[in-house]
Amino acid sequence: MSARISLGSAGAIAWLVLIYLFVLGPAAVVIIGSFNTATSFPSDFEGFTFGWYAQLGEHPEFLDALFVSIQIGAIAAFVGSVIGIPVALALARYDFRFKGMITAFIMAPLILPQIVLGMAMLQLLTALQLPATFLGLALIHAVFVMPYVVRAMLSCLTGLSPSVSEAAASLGANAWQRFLLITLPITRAGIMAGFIFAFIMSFINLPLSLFLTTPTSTTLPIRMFAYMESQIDPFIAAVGSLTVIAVIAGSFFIEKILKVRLLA
Amino acid sequence: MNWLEFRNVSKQFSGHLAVDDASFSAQEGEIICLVGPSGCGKTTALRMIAGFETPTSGEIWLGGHEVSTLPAHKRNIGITFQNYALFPHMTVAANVGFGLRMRKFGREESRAKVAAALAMVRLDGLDARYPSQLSGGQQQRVALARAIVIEPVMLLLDEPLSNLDAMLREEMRVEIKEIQSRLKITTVFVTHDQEEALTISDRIAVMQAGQVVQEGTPVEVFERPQHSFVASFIGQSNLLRGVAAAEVDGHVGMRTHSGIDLHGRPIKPIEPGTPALAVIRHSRVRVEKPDSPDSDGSDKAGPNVFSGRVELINYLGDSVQYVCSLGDAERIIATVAIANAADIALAAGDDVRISWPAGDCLVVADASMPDQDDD
Repeated sequence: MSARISLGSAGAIAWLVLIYLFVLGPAAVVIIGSFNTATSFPSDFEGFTFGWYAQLGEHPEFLDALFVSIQIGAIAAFVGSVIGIPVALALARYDFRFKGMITAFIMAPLILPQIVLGMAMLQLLTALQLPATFLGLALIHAVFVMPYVVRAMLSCLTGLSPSVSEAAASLGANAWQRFLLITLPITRAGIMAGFIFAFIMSFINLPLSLFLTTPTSTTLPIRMFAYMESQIDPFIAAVGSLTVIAVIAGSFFIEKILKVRLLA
Repeated sequence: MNWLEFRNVSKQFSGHLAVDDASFSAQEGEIICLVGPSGCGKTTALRMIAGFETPTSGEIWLGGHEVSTLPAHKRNIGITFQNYALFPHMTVAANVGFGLRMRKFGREESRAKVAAALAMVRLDGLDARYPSQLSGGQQQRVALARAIVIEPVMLLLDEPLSNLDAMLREEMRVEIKEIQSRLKITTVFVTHDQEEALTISDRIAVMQAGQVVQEGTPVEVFERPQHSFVASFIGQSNLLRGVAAAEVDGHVGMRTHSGIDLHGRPIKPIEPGTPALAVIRHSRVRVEKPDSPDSDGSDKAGPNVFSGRVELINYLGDSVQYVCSLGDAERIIATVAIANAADIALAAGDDVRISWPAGDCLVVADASMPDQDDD
């Protein structure tokens, strides 16, 4: 790092700070609000309290929802990984016809409005005469998070030369052994990152869940949304703060410990 | 019997013929070089021998068996890659032992073989390191040990020296040759460096645009190129383009486009009036002061004696290179070995007599000469 900060880089830093404020400011407001003794949110800061966090014990439905979200996130991330990892391997290693089109199709859930995706899934389940269930919700989440798995995996695979796998082949490893002994261990960080990222994307998702939620499959964001429809007090800020911290911790783990770039 | 037979093999990638009806062969224990500019198809040929690509047509025979469509993991071929392709998550010992593990060798036997292979590439004591902790040269040695420890029927080396610096390259080249001849393992060595090919191989297959344009011993390829591309690619040569003229006492005449008449040795009979290429190695050109006495008594006014001027001098240590102008348009480079300092007798701007023996001037039909190294 340069010892002297030029005018240009000072400007760049100011710009960066501005962007961070813009992006993280709302989260900061929520976190500060969650410690406020005032009974409404948002409001002026009246005093410091942990009381709203303590209230979590009086709202078992939030703990239930948290548990549902964790389960759905885990299933979605697992199913998304099982589908997404081979997809990423194929995209990274082979050239085939319509590769661009197929890639766009696989990545579509990233850009498709989630409300449309949720609606489409609801119609599909209805057409198949399947009830909206916990599993249905988990599967639609899996479809949505799969591209994140593919992306985390691809960022890992681009650094892996195909000749590494070829070297293993020349030494007598068949396709299955190459996958298990070479590709999988080398891309372990990418797989873990993809899983965690997928879990987070499912964990914080509201629009998809809106269509398919049932009393037994109410996720945390749905529960929060429902709570806020009737009242807004710092309790919801406390719940929100916890999710924000959990998500930031997960992202930090991926970027710093696993060293996989999520959004590059 | 030929241990390796590459018979009329073609490989078509979508819309592009990477290897075009190429044939070459190697006897058991030989080292054959596939040499050519990048994009000539030599690596694709190697990859087909390894089993990473399947020929579109033609056959590959190895030790008396056809292997054209046999999967790579069943061929028992050792290969090293240009980027080494070590397993980054395994130690040196585990890298070298991987092939033995696939062959279900016992722990003790495997350990002994790995130790022997590492000793052979002079890497003893580094077993516990990871590839990222090794230098490029060390990684190359690990890759070589990993390839030979399985006692393969054939060794393939893809540009094994190109990522090493000059000093190491020389050392590694000698070592590869030593290991190869000690193990008597039939080896295909792919390189774009003709000098490397000449020094290391028993046979050379020169490739251009997917075809093997000449195959033979290094001496054959160097001294008797059968093709204008080979003549220009192998060895450091002056190339003069022109039109063939009539034969004069065993030599073919040629007039360059710049109007210089010279005599040369035809590789194949060449029709007068057809486009021709004269190839004169830098080392065979003689440059002297115009008034210097003839050392060998040859006719000063004879063929292939010209007046020119030294334009530039490149001092290369063991030799000196004179870049001379000849006539209005031609440039001739002469490389003169330096035995002592007095050998550097010329200076830039000197008028000189430039000559070369007609026997050292190859005249070949100038068949659609592409630019050398056009990619």
